[in-house]
Amino acid sequence: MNTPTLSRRKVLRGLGTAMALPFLESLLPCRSFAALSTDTVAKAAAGPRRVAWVYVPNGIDMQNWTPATFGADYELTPTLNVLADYRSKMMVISGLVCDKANPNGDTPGDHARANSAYLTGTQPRKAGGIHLGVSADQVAAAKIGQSTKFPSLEIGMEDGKKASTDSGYPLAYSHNLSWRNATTPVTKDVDPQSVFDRMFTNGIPGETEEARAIREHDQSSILDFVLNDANSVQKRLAANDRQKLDEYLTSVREIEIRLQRAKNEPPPPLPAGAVRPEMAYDSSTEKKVGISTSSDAYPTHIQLMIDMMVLAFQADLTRVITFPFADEGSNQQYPWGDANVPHHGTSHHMGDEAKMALLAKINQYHLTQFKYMLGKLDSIQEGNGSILDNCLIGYGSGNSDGNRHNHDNLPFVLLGKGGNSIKTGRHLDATGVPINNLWLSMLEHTGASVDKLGDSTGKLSLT
Amino acid sequence: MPCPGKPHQAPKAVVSLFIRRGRGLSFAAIILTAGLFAPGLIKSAPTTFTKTTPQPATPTPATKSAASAPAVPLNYADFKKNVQPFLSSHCYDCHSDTDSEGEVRFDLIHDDASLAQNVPTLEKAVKMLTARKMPPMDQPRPTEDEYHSTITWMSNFTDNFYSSGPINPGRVTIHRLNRAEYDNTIRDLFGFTAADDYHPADTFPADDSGFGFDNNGEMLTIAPVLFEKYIKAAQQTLDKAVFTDPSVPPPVKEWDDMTTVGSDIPKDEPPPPIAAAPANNRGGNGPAAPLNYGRVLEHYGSFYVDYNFPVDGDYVFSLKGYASGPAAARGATAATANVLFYVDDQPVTPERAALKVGARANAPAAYEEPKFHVTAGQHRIYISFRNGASVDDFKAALAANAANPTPAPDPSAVIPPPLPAPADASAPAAAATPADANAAPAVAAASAAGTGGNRRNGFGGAAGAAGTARLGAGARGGRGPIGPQPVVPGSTILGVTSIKIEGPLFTNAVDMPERMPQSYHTVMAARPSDTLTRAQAAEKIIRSFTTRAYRRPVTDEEVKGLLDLFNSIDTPDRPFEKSMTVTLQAVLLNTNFLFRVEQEPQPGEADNTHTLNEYELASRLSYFLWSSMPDDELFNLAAKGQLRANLDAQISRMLKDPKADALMKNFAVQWLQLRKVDDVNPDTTIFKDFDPALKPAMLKETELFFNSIKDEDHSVLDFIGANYSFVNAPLAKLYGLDGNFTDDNFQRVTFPKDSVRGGLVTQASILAITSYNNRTSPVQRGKWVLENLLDAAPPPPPANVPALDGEKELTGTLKERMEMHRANPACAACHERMDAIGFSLENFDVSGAWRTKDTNNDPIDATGSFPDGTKFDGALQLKQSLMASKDQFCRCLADKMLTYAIGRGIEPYDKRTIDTILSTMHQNGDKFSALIKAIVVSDAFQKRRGIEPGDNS
Repeated sequence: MNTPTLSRRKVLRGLGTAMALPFLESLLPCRSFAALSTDTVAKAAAGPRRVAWVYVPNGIDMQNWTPATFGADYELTPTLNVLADYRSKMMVISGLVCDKANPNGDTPGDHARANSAYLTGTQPRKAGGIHLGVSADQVAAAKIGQSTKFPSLEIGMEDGKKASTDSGYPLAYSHNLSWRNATTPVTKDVDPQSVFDRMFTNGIPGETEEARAIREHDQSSILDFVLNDANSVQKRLAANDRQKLDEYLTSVREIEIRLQRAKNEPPPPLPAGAVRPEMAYDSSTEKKVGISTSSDAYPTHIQLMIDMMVLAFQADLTRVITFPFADEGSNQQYPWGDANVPHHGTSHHMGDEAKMALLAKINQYHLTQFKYMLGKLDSIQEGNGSILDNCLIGYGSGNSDGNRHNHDNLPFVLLGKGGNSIKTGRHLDATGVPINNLWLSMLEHTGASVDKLGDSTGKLSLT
Repeated sequence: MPCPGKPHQAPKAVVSLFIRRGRGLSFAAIILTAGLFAPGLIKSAPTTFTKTTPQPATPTPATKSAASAPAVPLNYADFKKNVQPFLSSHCYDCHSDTDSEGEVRFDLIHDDASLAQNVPTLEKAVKMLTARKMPPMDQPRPTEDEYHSTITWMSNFTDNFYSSGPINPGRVTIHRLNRAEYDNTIRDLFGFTAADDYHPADTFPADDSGFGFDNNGEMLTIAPVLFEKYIKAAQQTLDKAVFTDPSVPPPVKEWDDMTTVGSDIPKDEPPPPIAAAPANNRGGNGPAAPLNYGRVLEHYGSFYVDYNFPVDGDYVFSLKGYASGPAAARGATAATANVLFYVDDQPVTPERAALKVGARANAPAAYEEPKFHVTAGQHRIYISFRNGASVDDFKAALAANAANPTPAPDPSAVIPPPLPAPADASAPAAAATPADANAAPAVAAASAAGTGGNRRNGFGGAAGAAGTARLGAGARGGRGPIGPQPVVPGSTILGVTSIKIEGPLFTNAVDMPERMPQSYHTVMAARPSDTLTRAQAAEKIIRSFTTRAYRRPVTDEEVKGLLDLFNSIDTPDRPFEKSMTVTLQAVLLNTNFLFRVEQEPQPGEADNTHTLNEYELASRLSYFLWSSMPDDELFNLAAKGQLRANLDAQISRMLKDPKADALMKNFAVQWLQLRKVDDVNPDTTIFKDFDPALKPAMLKETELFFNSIKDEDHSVLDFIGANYSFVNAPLAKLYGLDGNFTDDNFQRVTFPKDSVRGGLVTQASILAITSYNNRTSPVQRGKWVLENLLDAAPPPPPANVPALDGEKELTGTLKERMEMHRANPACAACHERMDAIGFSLENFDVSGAWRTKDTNNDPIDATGSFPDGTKFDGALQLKQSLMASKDQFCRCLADKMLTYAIGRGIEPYDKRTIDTILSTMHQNGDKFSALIKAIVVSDAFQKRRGIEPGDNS
């Protein structure tokens, strides 16, 4: 790659952030920044580029999704018509393949596989414990995540507490899109209040500078101590135990980095008008309503989560987000979208027109929520455009037809213009292209270029 | 294995139906998938499915049957013929010399003996080949057929080996506490109680589960978001434990027998009448509670008590009483009884409190003064009363009244006629029988004017008394003319039924440690003092707390590390408690707390199977039975090295402890998939009678049922064949039971002999979670039975199931439609097994109610057949056939329970461990406790395998 060498300090200043460089130097590989070209830095002035993946489970009713023709003059289908307002900032991409979601020698479990192979392009297996690969968003987090409070943000709707495994695959596969590495899924946060608190409360409201300094000193002393201790425990353990300790160490270190940052930066200012989300409580269980499967609070819950996502981008607390609207195999019902039927059950429509129509209703309901997200992102000005213009948001599923569980011809639509670096407003033919090729391109346009990810074979041109 | 003394009765065909699941699950499924492409095989050779765990041709004891050798000879010669070609083409390049990858060498296998020695290598190979991780992707790939035959041979060989070789206890991966274990451990570590209702793990992300349970070491990961929650939970928990309200309320001295109380009036006034009205009965209305009128002050006067105050401190004075006056009698509420407490000559508040009229003698109200500081020693406490706002007001009112007389109420209607005061005020008063106390109008009562704020812990502010007008300073008794019922502002009567002194109030934990809850003492085992420096106190605390938190004695080195941490954050002006809670956060965030660490004595050394130390054993035991840390008794036994010698008694004790409810909540609920009950939502347009109250009830029934088997130590066969259950009114209605049932109380009911109810299979919970919202699912019901009672789960459906021909024209009853479905050979193999069981439960609708017609009004046909032609009809016969396969059920239960007990999946080598468990259990009447005990003494539970070559890859 022909990239002029920049000092890290310069790059960071260009990105408008202040960091404890010596600390980072000890932890981060130098090449993390190599992908940032001067061009990227220049564009950052107009707003950083962000990337996000929104996932919908159980496939899509494809006959109401796929436009008949390719190119700029395609006609919107009944389902995609929900996004008609954003046609100019949208690229429908058809024909993508997620081969690693196929059994390839394993036995069934298409939901778990579709979910876990989607961003990793790695073959999930039932035997041998959890073993996958790094996901596209975590590649982005490692590349462009150092300049924000959170390298990446994983949010979602279902906490998986009631779920059962899909046909013998570990639950981790059907519930985590995001994978730090082969063995560590990045758990998502489904509680909007928790997301809000993590984002905006560096300290305690009303805390004095002195009290904050003491608290931070306490905390870093504690973390130093537990890290040291864990290192000494680890030496006495066998290899597979050590791997568990590695997960622990990685997590502690990440928190430590965040703490280090918090020391050097003021708490992020809350964007105007933003408030801590209100969550309804169920008095019988004394738990927050809406944070589990089959929730009656879904419409409120998803809008709050979308609000949190928008806030995260708006306040530049992260530039990488994954957000499944439900987990693979979800049986959430959608009476608000005129589909008061269990999603997964309905997706196995067996060719029944009525069920397919209901499935299309669910698809459209999800897109309506997506539209709410786009509306918010597009309404916030940044540079000469909006935040949406600086985003690349992939919306799709690792299953195509929920009945057949096929993993080719995947439904996918890309929103945002990646800082005007891609050509939107068209229907792109990507028949047979591994979806990981698309991820490589999205990463490239976000300033997080890598040459290979999972089963990628190259890049899919978006220009 | 048959129960002792009973012939093995399981019909051969039934036995062969139930494919055992082991590590060979995915492997068996692969074979099945392969079989699907040659459907002919299924009919002609059904044993294709049992290749991994062959079943006997004739009934034999299970130990032998499950271990019966495959048809192929398993020796080196056969290995050389069937496996070595594969190895030499695909493996030898990297695994055949001293530099072998992952320390795996196949070249060492050269005869029968070395083949047996390399079983671990073969096991490893099976894993890698099954996962298709080997050969590496950039190497030539074997064909699927080559994979299958190699894996089959190796699996058969290792299975065979483990049925005769030394028992392998297996390895449990270091185990992070799951959410339930975290909550319970915090509860027991700090001594929180149910009343605290503290569940920090509610905010943690869900735990992943493996092999059906969410306590599987391999599956419990830590993501940064979880660690963030750990940080928050550690802070919150320690703050809650230390900076907490006292649990012991202040001492209380109460005088409720007013005859023992002194009375006084100002020296310059004649004594007022003092009345005491003891118990009475309501005329004609039968016996009523004795009414305590206490003693009464008319117009003015005071009561007093003498009390020796133990220490300097804040005390609260209060009385219970009532008041009445003419204003009240007229129905107004403005009448007040002005009351003031004195400590010796000192008024407790600067102003008299105006007590509202309202309560009656039969419901006296409480009046409380704000807290007041009293020095230690003997003091006299007065309750001073006068009925006017001030002397002048009183006189003015009298004058006004004289000018404009108002009919005075008849005092006898207000209060019992006062009796002449006894000469000695402390002598018991004579009895009086007033009119119906409820008819007594307008008895003014004291409202709790001085309450508010949390006085007990001394942190809250106390609201002042709602005083009205001042009385002359220094006066403690009422002043005013004595006369017949003057009509004046304020009350004419104050009745006092009791006087109370509460205190000293709590000021801080340091001065009153005895008032603090257990959680405080758990942490603050020592405090700095003249003889103990802060660091010394900290060290004591660190040592005692950390030993319990780590569930083993803390090492000196660990103590030193924590003490260094303490010293680095402690300053002299910082509250000691604060420095301590910060330090101990490092304990709650430590790997030794968050994980159940079992030390490897000699990492890297192969074949170092070793027995767990007593502390590790105590933890395994308590997390198995309680999902929590060991208690003091287990710790003490472990410390003395006597736990292993006392396991039997300890298990019995632990099973009786309420904490053993964890077995139901965490084991049974996951074993039986009861979490799905939450999702049961029958379509009420079809099932109009469905009562939403059934949902919690059906869950409760199964919970109570499981606990009855545990608590009453029944035979585990009761899970299938019990003749009793627990129902409340909605369930009784669902089951068609006659009798008096209520919504809230579950009653134990015994079913008649021919009843279809009894046992898990026909409980509403199980029938409901295996149904769809709009119809029953024989497939799911059959699958549930196979999976959870017989450990013979069919493999999941193959990918891309071809659409059935003419599926849209499917007509007829559900059964007819299902049979068409099963006509497809690709589906039939498994669906025959599942559906046959499921159809026998068709007499139960989606909520578990009995029915004879389905939702289309077609009559139910609850017959089915096993592939061998065995016919049966209905749930009763299903249960009979399940009882006939009780060995299979016992094995399934033992398998599940062991999986849960040790937190790892069952491996082929565990077969002998399970054989031993079953044998012990059968010898003890298949009792629930026998199963638990047999598991605890098994090698898998007591021991830990060292590291094998290749474990490090």
